[in-house]
Amino acid sequence: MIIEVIHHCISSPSYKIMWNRDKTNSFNPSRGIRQGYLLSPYLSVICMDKLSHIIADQVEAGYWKPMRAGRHGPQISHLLFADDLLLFAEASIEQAHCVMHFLDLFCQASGQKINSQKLQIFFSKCR
Amino acid sequence: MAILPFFFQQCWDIVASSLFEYVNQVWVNPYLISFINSTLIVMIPKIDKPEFVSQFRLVSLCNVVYKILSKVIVNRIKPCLNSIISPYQSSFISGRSIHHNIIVAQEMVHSMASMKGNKMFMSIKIDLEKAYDRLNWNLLSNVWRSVSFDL
Repeated sequence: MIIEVIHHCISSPSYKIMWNRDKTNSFNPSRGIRQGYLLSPYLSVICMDKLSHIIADQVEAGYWKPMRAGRHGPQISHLLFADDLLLFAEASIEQAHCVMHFLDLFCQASGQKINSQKLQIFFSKCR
Repeated sequence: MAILPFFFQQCWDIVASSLFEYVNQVWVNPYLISFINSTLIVMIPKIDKPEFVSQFRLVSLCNVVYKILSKVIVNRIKPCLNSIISPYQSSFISGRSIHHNIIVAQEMVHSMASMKGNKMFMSIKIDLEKAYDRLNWNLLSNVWRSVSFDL
């Protein structure tokens, strides 16, 4: 039941844009959630959790090779900060392809797009 | 016509019962939400003299009744989130703090810098463009339906 209510909450709004003290005609969105709306952070966290699942599955299947925090530390493949992500993997061409593939998969499913201008990669020290 | 929260506070004795009734009705008939779900979007420029839509921050101004309803939903799902959201997510979940993940990230970068051995590692920082506005509803409802809420 609560799922029905939430579904209606996100899919039923009509928007008007306030522009130069005037309002535009109202229109209905077909995707996106509203900035400044109470539920939005939770909805976006739930959406990002999908990515977390995808990555966890790949790590378990052995396709994605995560990094250890310290020599005997836990394996960590990703950290999420709301909608910012930090991914860890072995530095190899195959792993880069693997990471790209699953990010593409997630982006297709969720409608998200990676901001390539803000993308950064760090490499561990070379021997 | 906008009704400010102030109105509800001042006239609470009169409006309270109809508000309670409305919120209760929604749980029986979710379609009722569409009547209060009109939103005014205000564009707040991020920089001086903006030229593109992307240089504005779009803030949605929702109906007060709608906000009250949302608060009810939020209060109901909040306690469940900790058990369904992956431990690698640090934001917006009560009992977790973004600092935890920052410390882990710092530790990871530290061990990357002092790494010995044959294997090399990489860390990739990714920012999602307009994450809120792009979000696909189908994915959301699929994920919703796949988690079981104890409500």
